[in-house]
Amino acid sequence: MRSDVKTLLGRLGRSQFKYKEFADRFSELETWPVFEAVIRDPRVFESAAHSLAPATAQSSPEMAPIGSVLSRKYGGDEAAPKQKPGGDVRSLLAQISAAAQKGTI
Amino acid sequence: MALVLLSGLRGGVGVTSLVANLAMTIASGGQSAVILDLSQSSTLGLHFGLDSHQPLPGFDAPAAAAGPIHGVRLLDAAAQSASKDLGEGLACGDFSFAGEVIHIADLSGAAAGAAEQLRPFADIELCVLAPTAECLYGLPAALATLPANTFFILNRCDDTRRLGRHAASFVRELLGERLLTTIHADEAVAEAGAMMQPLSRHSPASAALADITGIAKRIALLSAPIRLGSLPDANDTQSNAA
Repeated sequence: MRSDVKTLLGRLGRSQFKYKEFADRFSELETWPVFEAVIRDPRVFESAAHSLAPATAQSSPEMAPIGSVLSRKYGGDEAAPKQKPGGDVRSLLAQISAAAQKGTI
Repeated sequence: MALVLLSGLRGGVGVTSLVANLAMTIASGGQSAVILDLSQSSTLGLHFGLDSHQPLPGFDAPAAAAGPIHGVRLLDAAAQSASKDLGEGLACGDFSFAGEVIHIADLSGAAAGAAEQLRPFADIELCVLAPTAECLYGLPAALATLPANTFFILNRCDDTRRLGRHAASFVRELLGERLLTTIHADEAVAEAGAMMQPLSRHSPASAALADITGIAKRIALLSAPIRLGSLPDANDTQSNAA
């Protein structure tokens, strides 16, 4: 960081400038095949299942896995986390996009 | 007391610089901090202004021989880890992490088995990743091998980069509550390393430092008897202080 910028931030009592928000539609995530490769990996779902079991036992949603997080956030079916590995990424992203259009996220 | 384990999802994600600056931030807050260096080719000394040929005190060194640097004691535990003495000593009570000191173990570059020796005695385990394709690709394997209560830290977040922005969004959705926090990408971190200075001295207004301070506040609360899977929220610090 340049010294003059550092001095200015110090005078403003801030640690950084206000970052510009680079808002993207969630549907743009689809453009990266590595995302789909990760989502289709069965180990991700196994991990989510392991996280879900103790959470259920303790009646605590602290460690919510991806399925339940997305389900709660985008108003999906609560049964979604129990779906088999290899879920439809496009439908998931479509849900997210629809939720964004509704202004619910 | 607390033992915090920090590892990287893969090499080069900034674990050692995070460990160093976390410990220094904790120490600047008035708590004692110790870094356990488990790497076989450590760069920890860089962040504390030590020469590269200068060895760190051994894990079994007396306190006087391991005086704090920037408020942090540095202990080389690589040999004890390689010989399994670390885990055995902890298991039989020869040494422990009791007391008010916060120990942070840098597992980046550690020999196989180091994490397993410390894990039973850890209060929290953190895994650092960066918003890169390589880290994303390795994430399923990490989720399969790391304990289910491991938290993640997304380092070097840069919203001005398209891939980094998308990757960060993806990781947030994928990990949910397990993503503890994110740290801004900040050139000042690399500059502080090159200056061989603490980030807080080189660039007190650093955006990354502000993020690291937030993590340090949460870790500092671990000196209370809080166990794995219940890392306190940073807001707790404020409410407790109030």
